[in-house]
Amino acid sequence: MMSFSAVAPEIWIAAGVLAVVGFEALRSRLPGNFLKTAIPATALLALALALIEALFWNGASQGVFYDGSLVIDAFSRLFVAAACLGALIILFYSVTDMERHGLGRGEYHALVLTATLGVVVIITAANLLVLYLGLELLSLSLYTLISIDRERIPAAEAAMKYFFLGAIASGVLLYGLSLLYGLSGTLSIARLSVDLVAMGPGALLAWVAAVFVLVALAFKFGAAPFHMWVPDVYEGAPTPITLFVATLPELASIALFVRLLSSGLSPLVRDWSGMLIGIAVLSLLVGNLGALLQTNFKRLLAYSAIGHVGFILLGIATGTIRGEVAAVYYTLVYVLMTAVAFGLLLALRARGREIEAIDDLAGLGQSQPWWSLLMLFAMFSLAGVPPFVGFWAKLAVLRALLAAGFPVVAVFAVLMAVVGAFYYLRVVKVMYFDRADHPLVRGNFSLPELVLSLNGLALFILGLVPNSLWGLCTWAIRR
Amino acid sequence: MLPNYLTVLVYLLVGIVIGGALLTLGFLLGPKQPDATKSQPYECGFEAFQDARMKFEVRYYLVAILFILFDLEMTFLFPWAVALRRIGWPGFGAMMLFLLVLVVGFLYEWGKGGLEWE
Repeated sequence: MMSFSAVAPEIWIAAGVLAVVGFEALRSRLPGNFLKTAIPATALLALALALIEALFWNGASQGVFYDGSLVIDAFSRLFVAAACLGALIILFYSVTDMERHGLGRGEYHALVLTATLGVVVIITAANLLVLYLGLELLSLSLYTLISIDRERIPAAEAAMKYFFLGAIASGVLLYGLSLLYGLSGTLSIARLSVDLVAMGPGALLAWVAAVFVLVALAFKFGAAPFHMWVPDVYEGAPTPITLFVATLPELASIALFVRLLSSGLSPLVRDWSGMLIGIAVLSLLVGNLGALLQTNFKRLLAYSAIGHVGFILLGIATGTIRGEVAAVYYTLVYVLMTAVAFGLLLALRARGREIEAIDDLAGLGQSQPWWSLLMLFAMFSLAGVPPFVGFWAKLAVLRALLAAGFPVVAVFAVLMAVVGAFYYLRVVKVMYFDRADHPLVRGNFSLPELVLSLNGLALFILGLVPNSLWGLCTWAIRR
Repeated sequence: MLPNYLTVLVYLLVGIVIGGALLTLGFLLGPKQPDATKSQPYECGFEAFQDARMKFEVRYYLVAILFILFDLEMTFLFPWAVALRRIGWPGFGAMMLFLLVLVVGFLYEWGKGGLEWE
């Protein structure tokens, strides 16, 4: 008898999609109040069940399943749980806001669930085609999610841009994967690395394939010079969707890097390490210098995302286990911090509308002391101020860089972090020292307030006990 | 090796004969009253020669996409039906699951009015 425990989270999420679409199909026949509760409840329940399944995977359920399609290892266990938890938090933050825009219908929940399904498939993929399948599932859901408010022109523009560039990147990735398949004759990621070792160093075609794969992955992660879509998508999409785009796909991207580059293409580490350092350095430069000029808060966070991706890629580029652990740690921490920043954007209202400009935050310190404290946590953590958890993430990457023998790059990264501190601290200055000409109010945000507070406090508490999360990441990456 | 392909050849010939016969019969026996509209290559309302940048009826695309979706389902169903004895109950269950997904999608498009022309 076939066992389904390896795909149990996927089954629950897919069942959730079917149920939500079914509810939406019967919209005209069911009472509106029932749907208003039933659809979000179903989506949350599906994700919660998936999370529980992922937490209950144990050592006995590990291995490779279904003719080498899926792998359940420590990394899968940690990241599938993180993805389900992240999607739960995102739904918590965004439901009220989507309702207010009149977009909180079944389509939104179904697409969030399919995107999460794509992330989970990428994380557990042991086969190039399964990996690509997950990536397309995620990307197609994201294109639609970004343009879900189709009357808004900036959103449509952002979705078009993301779609065209994303389609090209998918093609580039597929071309790279086809070259790898042609070279090795296998789709299995594990066997691919063995075959590449057997081929020996200096195989030109393998190098070309690595370039294609690297370019596509850098695009999906939003690293410079393939970052052009990031600011437009962050600004153009409705804020709840930006929250989604900024968090879950990052988990998928780091999973792509870990699975494809650090495992599958590990024999070519000499070839891709240098390229990746270049991409990372450029991302640090573009992200941190670009953010200095922004007045729109979502664009600021977009450039900050590019800068953080630079840090994460530096960890991968070392090609060492330690660097990989640091990159994974940084990604998890980054997702936590970004969730707080966007959650606060969703919770607050200035002049009766969403907060857009950084100046809209003026006077937050007086009118909403608790939320401004949480925003302070998020900004300090993003800037890398000790003892917040963002500091430990930066430190881990820098130590991995030094251990792997890249002192110049490490110094450059520190310099860029100092530049970055300026614009994060400017937000704090605006919040606490600028006079407000308008009162800042809390939006109608009752249920998720507790989750948001816990999320914000986690930045501080995890910073006090950095080893807990670090230990998890070490456990996830060990081979 | 080669005799294995004999059935394919027979199949091909039968196909050509039946198809050709039907077309010929229609040509010989059918009434012929040609006019300008009928002799155009397309009968679905498109002008054959004009500027490519024209207005489309967007509903064609909805119908076409829905048709493709459910037509492809047939492509899956035929080999499944032929191999059903070998794949047994797990195969049966998998196809029923696939059909369930399709039915939910079908209900959705129905509920949303995707099947109504007006």
